[in-house]
Amino acid sequence: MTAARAVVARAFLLGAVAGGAVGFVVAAGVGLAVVAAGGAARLAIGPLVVLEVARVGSATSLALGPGIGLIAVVLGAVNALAALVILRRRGGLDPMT
Amino acid sequence: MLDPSDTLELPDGVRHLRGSLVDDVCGITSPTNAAADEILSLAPIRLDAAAELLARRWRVPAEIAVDDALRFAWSLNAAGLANVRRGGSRPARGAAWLCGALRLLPFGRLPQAPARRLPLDTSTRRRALWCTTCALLPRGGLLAGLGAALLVAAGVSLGAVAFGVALATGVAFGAALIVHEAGHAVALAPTPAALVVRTTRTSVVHGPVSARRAAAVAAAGPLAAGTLGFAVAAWALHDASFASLLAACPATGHLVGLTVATHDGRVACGACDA
Repeated sequence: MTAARAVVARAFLLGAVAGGAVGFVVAAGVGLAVVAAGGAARLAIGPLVVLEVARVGSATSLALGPGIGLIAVVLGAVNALAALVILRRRGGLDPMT
Repeated sequence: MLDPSDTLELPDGVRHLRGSLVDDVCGITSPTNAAADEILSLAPIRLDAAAELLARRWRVPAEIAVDDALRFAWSLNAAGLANVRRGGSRPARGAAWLCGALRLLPFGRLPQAPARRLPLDTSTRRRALWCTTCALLPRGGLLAGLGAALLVAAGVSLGAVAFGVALATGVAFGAALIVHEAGHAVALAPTPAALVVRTTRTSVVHGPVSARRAAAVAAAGPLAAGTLGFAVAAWALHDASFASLLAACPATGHLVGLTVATHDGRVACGACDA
């Protein structure tokens, strides 16, 4: 069970790193595209802002928010869950323990 | 897709002893039968010569002997234990590949070219980096060329991206592959390793290492390419350069290799063996 916990923890960490980095790049890409198009946008998951492009006069600001952290956590959890499923299928995890 | 004019040869790190084929890099010994011994003792050997040998020595019909020789070479090559040097001219091989591709079209598959196992000097990290880069330059170049051609054709014709940006992003595809495999090789040093290049897959094979080390080696490839891509993306964001951000995407995409969706990710998480 300890080994399974280690696998799940590692899968969560690696999934979160991958999800966070890819989420950051995608959000940055969308943000820069909006800036280039001269528009404004706000993307949020509940109260957590992922991306905000605001125009104040002639100036444009692009901000990436803590929503990316939430994306990372969610993808880390999905990866951990998938790792658990793989472990069970391989018989590496006893469902009774 | 092999041809009797191809030549079977043993790559560096694989040697034949009577009754066995020894992979010194992976530390694996595979048993061989008498017919395999006959052929391997003469390696490098053309496959038509191997078939002739089988037909004469084991008294099998010529066409069955050719089939056996091709199957034998294919299975050894698929296991990464032998290389196949292609015979015949490039145009003839290209035409044969096209015919095979047309036949396989209804099944949505492409004809598989033989794998190529290349030696890697992983005695030091620096040598591992240099050796992997040199070995993968042709493959990286091909990927970069294909990526650039596709992006130039699609992006530029639609007016979505500039020619230079499409070219840089295409080159980034090839560079990311080299950095990914170099990451594995550098993490492996000084454990002996070899590079196996297949049609759609490139991998670093190595000898037995501890589970913890195997996980670190598996994670090193995607992390190396992904970190580079992320750094370029962060710089692009700081510089507000959409072009640089686009070029960072192929390398950043390698971070998906850290998830259980890929073999590297499963090994890195410890969900499967290397």
